[in-house]
Amino acid sequence: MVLLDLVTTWIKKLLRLYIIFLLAALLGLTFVQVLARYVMQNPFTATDQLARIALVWLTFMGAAVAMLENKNVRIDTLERLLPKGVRHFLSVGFDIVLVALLAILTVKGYEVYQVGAFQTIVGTPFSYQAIFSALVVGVALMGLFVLIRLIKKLRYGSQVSLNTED
Amino acid sequence: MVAFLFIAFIVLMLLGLDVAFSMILASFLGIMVKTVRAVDTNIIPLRMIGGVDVFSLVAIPLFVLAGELMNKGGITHRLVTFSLAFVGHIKGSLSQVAVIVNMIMAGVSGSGVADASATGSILIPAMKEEGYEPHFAGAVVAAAATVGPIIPPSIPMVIYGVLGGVSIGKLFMAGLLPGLALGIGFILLCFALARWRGYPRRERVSWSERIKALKSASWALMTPVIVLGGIVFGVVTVTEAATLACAYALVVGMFIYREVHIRDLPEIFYQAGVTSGVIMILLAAAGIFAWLLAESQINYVLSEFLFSLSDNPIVIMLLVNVLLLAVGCLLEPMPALIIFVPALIPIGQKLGIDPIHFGTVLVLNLMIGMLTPPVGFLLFVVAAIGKLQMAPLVREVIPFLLLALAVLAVATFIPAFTTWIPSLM
Repeated sequence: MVLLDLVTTWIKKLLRLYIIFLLAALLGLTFVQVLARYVMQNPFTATDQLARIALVWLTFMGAAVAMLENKNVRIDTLERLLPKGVRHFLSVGFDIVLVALLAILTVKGYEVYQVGAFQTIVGTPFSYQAIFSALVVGVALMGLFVLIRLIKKLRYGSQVSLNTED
Repeated sequence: MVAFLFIAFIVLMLLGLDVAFSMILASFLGIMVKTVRAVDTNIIPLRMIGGVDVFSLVAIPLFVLAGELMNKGGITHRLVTFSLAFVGHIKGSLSQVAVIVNMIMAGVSGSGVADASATGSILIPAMKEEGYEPHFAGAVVAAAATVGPIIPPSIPMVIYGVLGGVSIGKLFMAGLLPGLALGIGFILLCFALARWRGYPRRERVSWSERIKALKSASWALMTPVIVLGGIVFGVVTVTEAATLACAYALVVGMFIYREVHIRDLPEIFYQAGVTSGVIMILLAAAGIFAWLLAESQINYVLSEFLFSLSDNPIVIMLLVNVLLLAVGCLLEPMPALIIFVPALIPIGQKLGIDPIHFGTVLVLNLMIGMLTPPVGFLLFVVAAIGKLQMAPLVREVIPFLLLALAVLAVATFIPAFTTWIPSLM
């Protein structure tokens, strides 16, 4: 379990840096776009495209961290009314299903990623792989986080947190 | 197929699976059982990416960041002080302050949940301390937070504009009158309830104190002016306005109020990034779910169903309102918009309804849905912030809900209420 916590902590640290970078890049790119349009009277097309890439990466990296920190939107009204045993069963069951679903999404996402090599994003040196790779990395990370959570749940019960700062 | 998708999604969501993954899993199962015009599961990652790979959506993380910078930069706190200086002597003033601050904050963050979190964490404890019924405090904050995404700028309006190909600037302006009507209505309701229940008033402050509070809050008060002014006069696009809001909040927080330091920025950016991830993954998930619904011809099914009940535009609009209020109870506005807008826009067109009017009514509906018991999302947010019980909170929210429904009725049946200001642009 110590090893799992260590892995989670390090991935979270890296993701934290990456998310800060992505949002700063998004702000910087749109700010440059404003300057280019109003100050230099010469709008760039590349800033739009780069901002889209940063947005897609931010989506999946932010969602992965939200998964890690249990921040994703969920409705627990009905769940709270259920007996503890049923809740544990559901919680473990959903994690097993999620691990399988995220594994399938990683594989399917990788297939789409390979096709993306043949399409270039206009105005940038990148292909669509730059966008599709965000999904592959994001869902793979989410799958890993849910798997770690599942292992912990099976060992310690349903009330575990992946957030090592808790 | 449509029924299967919805039932699978609702069952998974109610059993406690994340909303985004309930949509993705329901879509996956839907593709598995789809035998007529079968599709490959590769469509899932493709449509998920398609749901978020849209430049206009860049405005969403930027508005979230602006909201985070405002909260950390002391702007929310100054708006509370400013509002108290002017209305503090009125009975139940803190509840009115909650509404006023949300109306001003609405000019920047654009998200009801963000507004409820920001104002609720300050005002619910403050109201409890002054002897307000705690669940009334929660109900006020929840109701006030519905105003945020109706008064521009508004994240749900950005999404409707992108999906419906409608001018986002005009949509923003269309929300102004209904938003103001809701806000002013809530203020009057707070005043009436406070008088009836004998809630406290504060000492009237002197004019010199008021001017001091105004001076202190003037930078904060300029934020919505900058954001909206740029959009209204066509100087900047919505994304550029979001960028300027961030830059302005950063400069005010760091160099004028001096409450944000360089060392705070990584945490602010990180929190805003994660919050954006939470919102955007819903859009990614709704990308595949909405596509599958469209593939199953939900437009046809829904319009056939609605027109089988009546062909009177007023009745159809009423039915759309009932449908969206029910949807708004279960879903966050963002995924709800992605799922239903493509299906509802053709119905609006068939009825000859202005897309700006239709979009404003949709967003108004979904925001009110977030306040509607038993599963209105904002109720959960304030219950969590204020450590409140659901049943008394629901009781307290009912007067606010009735008022919001009255504004919705006006917006639905008097199109000029929403289309007048955009027509001036």
